[in-house]
Amino acid sequence: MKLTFILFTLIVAVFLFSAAGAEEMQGVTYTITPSGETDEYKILLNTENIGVGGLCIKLPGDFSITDTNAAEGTYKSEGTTLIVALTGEKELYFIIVSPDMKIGDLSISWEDLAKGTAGGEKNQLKDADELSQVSGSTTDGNSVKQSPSLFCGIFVIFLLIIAALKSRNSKEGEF
Amino acid sequence: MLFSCKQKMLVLLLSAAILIVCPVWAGAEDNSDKLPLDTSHDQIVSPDELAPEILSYLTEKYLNGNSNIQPTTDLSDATYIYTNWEGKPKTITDSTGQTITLFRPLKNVVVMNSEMLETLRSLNFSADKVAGVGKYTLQDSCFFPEYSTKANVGSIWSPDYEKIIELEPDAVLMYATFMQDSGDEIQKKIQDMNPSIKFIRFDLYYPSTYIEEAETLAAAIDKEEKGEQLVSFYENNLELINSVTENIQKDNRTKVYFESWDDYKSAANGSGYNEKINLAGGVSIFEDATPEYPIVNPEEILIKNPDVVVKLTGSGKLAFGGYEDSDAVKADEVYQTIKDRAGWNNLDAVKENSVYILSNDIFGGPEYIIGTLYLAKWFYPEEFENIDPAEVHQRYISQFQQLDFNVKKDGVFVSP
Repeated sequence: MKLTFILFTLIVAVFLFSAAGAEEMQGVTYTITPSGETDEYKILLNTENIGVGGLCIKLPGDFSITDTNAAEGTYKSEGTTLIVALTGEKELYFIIVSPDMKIGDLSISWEDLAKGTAGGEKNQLKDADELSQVSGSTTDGNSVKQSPSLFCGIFVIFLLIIAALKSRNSKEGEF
Repeated sequence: MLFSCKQKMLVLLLSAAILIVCPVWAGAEDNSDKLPLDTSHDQIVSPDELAPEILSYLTEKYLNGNSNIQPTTDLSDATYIYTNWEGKPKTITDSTGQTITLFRPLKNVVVMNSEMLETLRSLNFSADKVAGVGKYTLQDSCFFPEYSTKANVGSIWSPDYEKIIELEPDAVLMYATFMQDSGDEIQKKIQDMNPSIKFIRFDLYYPSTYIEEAETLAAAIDKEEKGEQLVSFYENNLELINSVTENIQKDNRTKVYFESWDDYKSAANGSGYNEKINLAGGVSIFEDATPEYPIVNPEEILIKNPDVVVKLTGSGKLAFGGYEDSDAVKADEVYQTIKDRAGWNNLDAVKENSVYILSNDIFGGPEYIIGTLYLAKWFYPEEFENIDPAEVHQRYISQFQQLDFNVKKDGVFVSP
């Protein structure tokens, strides 16, 4: 449990650090959070850095969409894949039901057709029992300026401090 | 012959059908005046019209596994229009007064004159979007190296109509008022052959209109930010000159004899050269002559006794110097020949060593600002003592023309 917490903290930190590392970036930030219902997750996408374009999310297992704020006709899903057309949306969510969400690869790709830029990343979900949230940011590392980079950097330091404290406290036998 | 009621009805129905079908057919032919993906025909590309096409592209790429697929031209153009033009057609007015409406971004143009091409380069318009250039541009490979392999479309005096049509340009860019009749004829002939080809016309060498024309051109190619930088460069240098010259009364202004590459051909009111002399705070001793480029009587020069003499090189019999030629010997020869003209040893300009050779490369086109700075310095050496026109020239070449060219080491632009 303790080790899982530290590892998870570091995983999140690495994701965010990769977002904060380059001064100018463009891409999608996302979180996938269990909703509390069985096999139900909320995918929250921040797409404000993309003007006109699209994104593709491949989840570890088949899923069905039960709710979304995306307009009808702007998204499509098939098997493990969700594609979404973007025309300036800032934030989108999809509530999905996916019994096979627990283990496997998760990838996200995006394209900005106006700027001719694209990016993406692949993550592996390993220990879903301990996982409360998957968080990430995909980038091409060279496009538009991303304002949250400073925030991300501070957040990384914050998380690392917590991780260090937890580790230290563990040694002192408080866990 | 009488028609039955049924036959009359049939004829009426057929006529109505023809009337309905014909406009639809004509409209379908005229693709140039429609926005891409504007399925509602309201002259706006909306998110509702973009999204299905994007989704179709994403489906092919991510669901059907065609990873090499590229967005269609319609999707690319519609995306561009939605992002940069608020989804609407772009309208500009050129220097002939004609209004041009663009329904797609300019991606394939023919540029007939080098002043236009030089300004396009200042505005960072990609050479990849230029399909053909004028023959004089092709002869100037030192200044326009990236265009040396482009198609030759001739000149305003002798255009290659077939080549222009063959290139299927979105637009032809050429002079507005210079050789206007020829320009109008070229536009008419080309548009008679292919009405979808737009014509965008600017002179881009008159100081009085250059800045406004450059701004409009920048807007046409969506390079407003670069346009602001270019305009700022011109305005700063013009202000520099004006700060010294604007308070000088006409009677106190430097008297200038200006001569083109043809002997005794000067500049009068209405010419671009005269405008630049005035800008620099001088007054042409033949400004009231006619026509705009008068052939003057040599005796008159002696009588009017100019303070400064400026001889232009770079074309005609004096086609040397400028960017193409680093040998200063010919310019020095012209300088000496001018000073040795009969009776000229009595001219104030000769006695005061105020005879100069100036290359048209920095005076005739968009670089007039460089030549005008030289004139101002020659006319008022004390007031412009700390101004280095060569430095301004280098900034223009490096910052706007993006050429690897050292104006102090290479080329011959002024003498002595």
